[in-house]
Amino acid sequence: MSQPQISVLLIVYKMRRQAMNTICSLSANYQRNVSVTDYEVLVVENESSEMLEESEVCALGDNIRYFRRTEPGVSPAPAINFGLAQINAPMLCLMIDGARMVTPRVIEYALQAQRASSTALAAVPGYNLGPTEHHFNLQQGYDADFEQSMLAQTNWQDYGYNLFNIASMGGAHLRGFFHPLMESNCLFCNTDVFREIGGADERFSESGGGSLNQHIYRALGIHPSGRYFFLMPGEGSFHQFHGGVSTVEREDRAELIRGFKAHLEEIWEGEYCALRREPIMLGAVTRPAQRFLQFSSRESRSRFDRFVRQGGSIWREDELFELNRHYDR
Amino acid sequence: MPVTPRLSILVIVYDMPRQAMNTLYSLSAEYQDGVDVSDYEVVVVENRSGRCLDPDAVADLGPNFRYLCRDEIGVSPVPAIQEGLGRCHGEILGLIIDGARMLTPRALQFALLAFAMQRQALVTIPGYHLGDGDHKDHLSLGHSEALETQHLEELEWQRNGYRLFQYACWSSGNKNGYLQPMLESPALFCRRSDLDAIGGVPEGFDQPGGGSVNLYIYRMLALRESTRLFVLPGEGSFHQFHGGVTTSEIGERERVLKAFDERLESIYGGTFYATAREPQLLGPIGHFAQTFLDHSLERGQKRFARLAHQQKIFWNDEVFEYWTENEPSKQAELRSAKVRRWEEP
Repeated sequence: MSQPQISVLLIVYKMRRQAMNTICSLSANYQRNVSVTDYEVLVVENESSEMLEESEVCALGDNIRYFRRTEPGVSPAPAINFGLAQINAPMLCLMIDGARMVTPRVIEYALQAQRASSTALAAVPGYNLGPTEHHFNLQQGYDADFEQSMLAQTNWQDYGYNLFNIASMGGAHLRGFFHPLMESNCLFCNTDVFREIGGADERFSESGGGSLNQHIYRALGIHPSGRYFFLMPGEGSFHQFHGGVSTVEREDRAELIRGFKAHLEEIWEGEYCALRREPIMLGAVTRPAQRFLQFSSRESRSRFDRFVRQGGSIWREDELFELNRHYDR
Repeated sequence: MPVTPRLSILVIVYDMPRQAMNTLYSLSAEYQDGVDVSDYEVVVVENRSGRCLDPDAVADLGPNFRYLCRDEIGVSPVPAIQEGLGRCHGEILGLIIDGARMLTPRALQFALLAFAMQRQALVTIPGYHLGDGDHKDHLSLGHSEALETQHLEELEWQRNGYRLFQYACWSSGNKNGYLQPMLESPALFCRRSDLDAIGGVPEGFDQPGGGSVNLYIYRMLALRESTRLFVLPGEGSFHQFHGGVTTSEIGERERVLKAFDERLESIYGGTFYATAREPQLLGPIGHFAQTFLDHSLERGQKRFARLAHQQKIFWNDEVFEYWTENEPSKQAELRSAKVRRWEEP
């Protein structure tokens, strides 16, 4: 097989059903306008009581590779670094949470972004399946069984954009994606740049990696090579309920998140904030996705107006790239 | 210029010096962001009138500007387009057939990016009219050149071209926005090889202003199987009032348009429709452009809802429409119908 342009690194732990959906959504059979030679999917699974079946995973495509590893800790960081050592593609797609299914043109558009610039950063917005964020699951009476029956009715395998019809806006950009994003759970970047920022910092040793993904997102977003920051408004990564550390309702969640944030700022060595880069929109926006773009546009008005009134830079990190010419006033 | 530019922008001008100078300034490297004079050239072809451009003023806009004034006995810009194409060096072409259309500051940057992303790109920049309504109704709306000039001065658009969105409305050709089939592209970018493949610009469009030549070129390019259609939602091409054939309120407008339609369908060889290929968005969408995004989304959703209800295809000119929300069985049927249609000679 010729060398793929993109290696998707998917980290899995104890979520067999959800991960199989995710892998299916990454397969060349589901992804449009790309072939198995364009990209590869590396599934790295930390051992648990609920493992994937390697043969089932690999049956989804010749471009899917499976790695099972023993992990003494509770963080996905070592698994990411293990996966990073296995790949040769110039572009990496990091999916830190194997429970996130994607829409049918994420790979195609990432390839386009890469052709625009080999060091492009491309973020796919995140959504939750169901009516709200999964850490309100008990209040909403939402669980894996309900989700499964909902998925079964959407015919997502034939038309992945139907996922938007059963989803709600993700927590990383609750007010839409004309606001700064906190993170992306399906993030494309240059592989060497990812290595340059140190890969996954293994000091994020908390369950689920704590705020590791946010750290990676911002570090990549301000890296000097990253002039082009793309966002795919018509694509999405959809979180399936799986009882994840911060994506399930629990009494100590607020305290847990505070701990994650404190640790993040300790490692970041300063105050941490969402990445304020003006997104270059990329891709078609199908009917089911349009309501989220509409919501995003409306929600951004007050923020934009505030900056116009008060002055200051709406997209502050763009200044690092000498990109901001204050086109908003 | 020592290096062959990748992009040649062809601007046709006739009897509109003030408007054309604004357009040309909006194409200069001083105004355009993220491109260099070596990336592109601007070929200005003017049909002689009583009010021609000052060649020195054009040359002052940059070393990448070239100007030709020619005599034209006819009333159509098509011969000027053909002569201009002969002087374009780039493998990518930008066509602004009506020299009265100013662009926003990142139009060139993102048009070029589209071709880096997808070899067979076709890029369209949505069209707007300056003022409160389409210029075809200028008398009824009280729109005039003097008023427009005053507004442009107040906007100081040279400092931030996106302010043009604040003083603009949809042009009637695409009044439902860019998430719909579009009739034309007043500022389009294509590969020169693609324009050659559709047979160039037909001389048959010899009516005033070229008649519907713009509509024809856009659809023919968009219908090519390999074409990928890009729309730049955050950029715009803004029509300045200049008393154009179809862009001013004149008594015989309906009759003129009917003649244009007849000629269009005769050259096209059948009923002419707006091009229904799914647009791929590209580029940032700033504060000022968002009103038009909202409108496009609103209109787009209405259309989608109607077509979904009627079990109809959304993008009728897509080669393979995988994207319909119709039932799978219906999809398979539509898909095979598409294959058959495209296999027909």
